Amino acid sequence: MAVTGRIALAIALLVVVLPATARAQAADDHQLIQDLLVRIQALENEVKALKDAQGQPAAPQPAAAATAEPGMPGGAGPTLQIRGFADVDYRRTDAPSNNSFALGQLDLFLNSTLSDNTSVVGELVTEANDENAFGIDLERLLVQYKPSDYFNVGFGRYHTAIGYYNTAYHHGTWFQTATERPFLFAFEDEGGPLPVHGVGLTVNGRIPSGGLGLRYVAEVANGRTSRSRLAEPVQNVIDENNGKAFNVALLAQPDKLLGFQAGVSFYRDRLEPAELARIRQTILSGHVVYHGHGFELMNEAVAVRHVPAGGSAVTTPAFYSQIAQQFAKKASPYFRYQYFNAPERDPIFGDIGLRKGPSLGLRYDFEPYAALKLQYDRTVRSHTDPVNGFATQLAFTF
Amino acid sequence: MKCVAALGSSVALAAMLALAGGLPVAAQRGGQEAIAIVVNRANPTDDLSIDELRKAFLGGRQRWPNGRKITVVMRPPGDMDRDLVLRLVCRMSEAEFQKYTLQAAFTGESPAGPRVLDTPLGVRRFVFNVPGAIGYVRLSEVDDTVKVIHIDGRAPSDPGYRLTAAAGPTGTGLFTRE
Repeated sequence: MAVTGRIALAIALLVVVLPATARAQAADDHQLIQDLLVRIQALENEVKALKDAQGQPAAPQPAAAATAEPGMPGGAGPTLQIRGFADVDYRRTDAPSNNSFALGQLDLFLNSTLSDNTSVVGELVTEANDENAFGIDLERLLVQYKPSDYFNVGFGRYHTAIGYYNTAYHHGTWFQTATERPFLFAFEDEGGPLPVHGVGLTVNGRIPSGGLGLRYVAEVANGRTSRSRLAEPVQNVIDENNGKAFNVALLAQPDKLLGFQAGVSFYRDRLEPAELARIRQTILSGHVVYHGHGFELMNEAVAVRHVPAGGSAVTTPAFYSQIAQQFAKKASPYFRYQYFNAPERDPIFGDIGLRKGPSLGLRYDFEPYAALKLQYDRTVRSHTDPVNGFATQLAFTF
Repeated sequence: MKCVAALGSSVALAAMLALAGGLPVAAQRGGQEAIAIVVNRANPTDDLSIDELRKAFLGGRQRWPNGRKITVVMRPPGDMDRDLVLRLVCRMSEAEFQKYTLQAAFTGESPAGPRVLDTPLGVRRFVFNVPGAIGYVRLSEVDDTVKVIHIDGRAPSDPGYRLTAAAGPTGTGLFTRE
């Protein structure tokens, strides 16, 4: 009877105490699960490490291996890395042209580390022209020597550091939110107004500035072809004059404002169009951009000033603003407004005249490395009716 | 007297049951251990600010003060410690980090991305062998083949050390393109 009584009492106590204990633990359940997951991961790691250790010497490699260079395993020489970027498109406008499916660019990005300080980047781009014929262009070939954070030098064909868009985004359309580059930064062979490629020497690096994160860029290049509009616009092999174009830029990327960048640049060249007087070209640019929390805000303004010998200066103002916000880590509606207004008397851009208008679009990242973009554009131009366009682009990297 | 004994044994039993549920909680909380930032033992750097560490991991800073090239070694995507480092140091999600490193290579700013090794042993070996390497392992996984550096003046065992699972806010979703 006494034993039975004890058991009954114990059960009664348990009935009272256990629920209370359970309630007390309830608040910790979620934490407990998280903690257990951490612990499981740790144990898995330890098991993996032990398995690895069984198949390999327990001690690290001796000091003789301490000078091994990453990226050059076994002394087999540099390794070439290739990554592809491509897009396929559909475009329709109310201008007198046919709606078309279109193959965009196939961009093979080449990258190799030659040594601790030296690397090479290159880009081979295949795309079709207006006559549906494919061509291959070497869009970039740059040997870079980086002995320190404060002084890096590159030699070859590079993306001119005018503004932000031109260096942040180039042939890989997957990187950029919109389907097309702003007209201001359109490629030279597509009628773009700026020298977005340069062949020459580029130097860049950090400027000791604490948390302000200042960087500099200085470039000397052949400049853009000006003698004939039919010629290749980038002077890859032969400069049409002995004068060189130069560009300097100053950028700020503050430590405390992650994703923020502001910068200015100054570009100077001498143009020698056929049947025209020599022209001094100056390009001033400024930008303020921010990328963070899925939010994107880009603002860039450029002034292109042409001063013909014996003539007066003509300035073409241009800018674009773009804003985007990502939702659910996949969908990014965006809006861009761009403006470019070349006076008719401008000796280089006069035939472009005014070009302005909004773009509204949606980018949907349906896969980590593939995005579908839908974009509507309305473009107002001098002396012609506004053009409404719709574009669909499937951009991806592989 | 028998009732008192019965009560005592029952309370002891209840206490044991309660403790059986409570002990693992306390142990696992202690198990939220710090992530130690490790470098080669020959590296003279003893301390980095969290901003400097972020720059090193994102390629904004590519040289140690002694001129050695910084080579970042990380665990593979999906690893919890990697997620923690991305969240607390880089302030990015995995997808954002992948895109960032891809774009840094594309722009030529940081041609070689981080090395990826599967195990803490692999990370320690790499850091041991490469003078400019920097990586991370859990504090319990540190051995004397690597050197642990302070972050913002704090060692991993110090109160207020920033690289623990319990530290800091959740990921900010930040994605920077420089």
